Amino acid sequence: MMPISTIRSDDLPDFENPPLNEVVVGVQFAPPQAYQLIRAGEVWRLFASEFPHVEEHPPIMPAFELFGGPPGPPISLGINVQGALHNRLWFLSPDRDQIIQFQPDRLLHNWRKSLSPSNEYPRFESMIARFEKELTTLEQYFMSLSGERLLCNQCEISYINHIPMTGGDLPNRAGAWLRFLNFGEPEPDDLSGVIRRVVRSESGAPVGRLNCEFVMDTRSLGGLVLTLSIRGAPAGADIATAIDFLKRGRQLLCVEFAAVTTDMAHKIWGRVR
Amino acid sequence: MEVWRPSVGIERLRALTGANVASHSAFSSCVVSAPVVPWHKAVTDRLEQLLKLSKGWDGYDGVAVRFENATFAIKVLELVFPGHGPIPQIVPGATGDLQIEWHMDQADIEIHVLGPYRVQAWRATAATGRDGEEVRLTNDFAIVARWINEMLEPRRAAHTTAA
Amino acid sequence: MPLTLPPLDPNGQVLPHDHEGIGSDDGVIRRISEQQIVQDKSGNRRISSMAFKASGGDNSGMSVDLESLIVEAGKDPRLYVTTPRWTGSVRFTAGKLRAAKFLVGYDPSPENPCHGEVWGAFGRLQQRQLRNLATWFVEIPGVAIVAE
Repeated sequence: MMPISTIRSDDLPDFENPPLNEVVVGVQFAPPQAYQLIRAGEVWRLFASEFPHVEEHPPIMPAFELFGGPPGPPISLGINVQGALHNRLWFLSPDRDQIIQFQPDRLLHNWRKSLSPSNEYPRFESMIARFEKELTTLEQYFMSLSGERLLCNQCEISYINHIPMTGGDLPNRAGAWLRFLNFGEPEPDDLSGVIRRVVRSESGAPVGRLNCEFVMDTRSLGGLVLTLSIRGAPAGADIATAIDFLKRGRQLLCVEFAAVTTDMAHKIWGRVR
Repeated sequence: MEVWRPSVGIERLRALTGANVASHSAFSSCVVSAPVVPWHKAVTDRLEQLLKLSKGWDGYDGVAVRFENATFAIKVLELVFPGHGPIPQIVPGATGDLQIEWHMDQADIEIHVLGPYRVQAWRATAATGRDGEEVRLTNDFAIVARWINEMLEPRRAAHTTAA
Repeated sequence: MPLTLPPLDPNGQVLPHDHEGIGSDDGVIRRISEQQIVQDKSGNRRISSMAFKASGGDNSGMSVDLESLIVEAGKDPRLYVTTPRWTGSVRFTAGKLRAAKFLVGYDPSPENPCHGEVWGAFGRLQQRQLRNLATWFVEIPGVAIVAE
């Protein structure tokens, strides 16, 4: 499969002021056998010059996208098993608008707008190039421990949009922003939902899931939060294939964002393509 | 260049959802809920036991089942195994892998999880003979769901008749 | 007679081989853990197919103990294969494994200088052959080797 270029495709929808609030790219991999909790500080030092702040958060459980049957009730597996996963570490940039999230089986990179409203989204092309370097740096560190390469088994890309619906002339009906919502009167006070769809390759094989999650609460959120994500297993276990998955996923998310939002919304956000 | 497509287009999506948007559980990789079917607890108890196996448990260099393999196995079971059925047996492998097994009158089914998205599934029935049929699977487990459904079908029929 | 050292790959891992120093009549012992016991359709206990598969690692084969090396070291084989942890075990002869197209090799470790490895195809047919060739060496009470 030909790798996708990092140059933004002229085919993708583009907006001057999209309501983008956060972008997350992430890869899950088999935890290297030689890695132990005591080495978490060494991992931070790989990135500390650009990410000097550290926070601890609960770990994320391993995630997999499987197909072939209706999902049954989810089963809980205790994560209080010794050594299973240590806490998820956040390495934050000086302005705290960029985060590297690390746990023994995952690396993610977040850009978020909310803490510094003036900061501009760095654009996917430079974000993915940076993330690829971070993955490679991590892999080189793991290889120095035991010669193990990263074995990637899940990729995830999410675009989180905050759509204000209060103030000025902004429409305060959900259906004015999301094409697939069509409530009669009265409009609900709040709503939430998630729509999951299988993403298939040209051959018809399932490659992942596209999730469209929306939460509307004009009182506490001031509007609508629309999160589009794609998750799935990359075609191979190496970093290059994982990056390829994220690039393809992002293309689909750009198209989906334009498809699920209304023409009126596009006008407000300054659609240029 | 290969193009990905979602399986349902936006117009169909609109027709499906209309004004009846249902609230689903929040999407998250950390969905946790209490077990609701009898075999859930037995499976999680067994997996938690296998996650704690000490090195050399097999008399050689065997290691505990790897956490990601246990989690993957659970995801497979959530997908292919309906709410009620015989509790599967789970056997550890030497390198952190594991095998889920059912041995019933209708069929023997074994699902060997070598790693996430690396599964060898095998089934033997009267029709296949004792050496059975084996498939290698990554993310699509429709065939295993069918095998299990076929294995359970005579039990369901007997239950319905008895009722 | 001590066995010659086995062939190694560039990473120092033992390569699959058939060791000429292991005689046809030599015993090849496979330890069986209680963790590898399942119930068959009649509720009877038997050894899972997992016990008759390759381990899945690099150059993967099925771990065994070489009985002749244990005896030459002056140790009791039944005591040896139940130490440091008690497990059951089954026994093959090297010649019969070879006749079933398996390789029987030598793979010593600091913890187990009598460790060997059996390499080959471990499909269903071969697993059934292994069960048919095996006899209990240290029996786990009430457990059958072969499925009914």
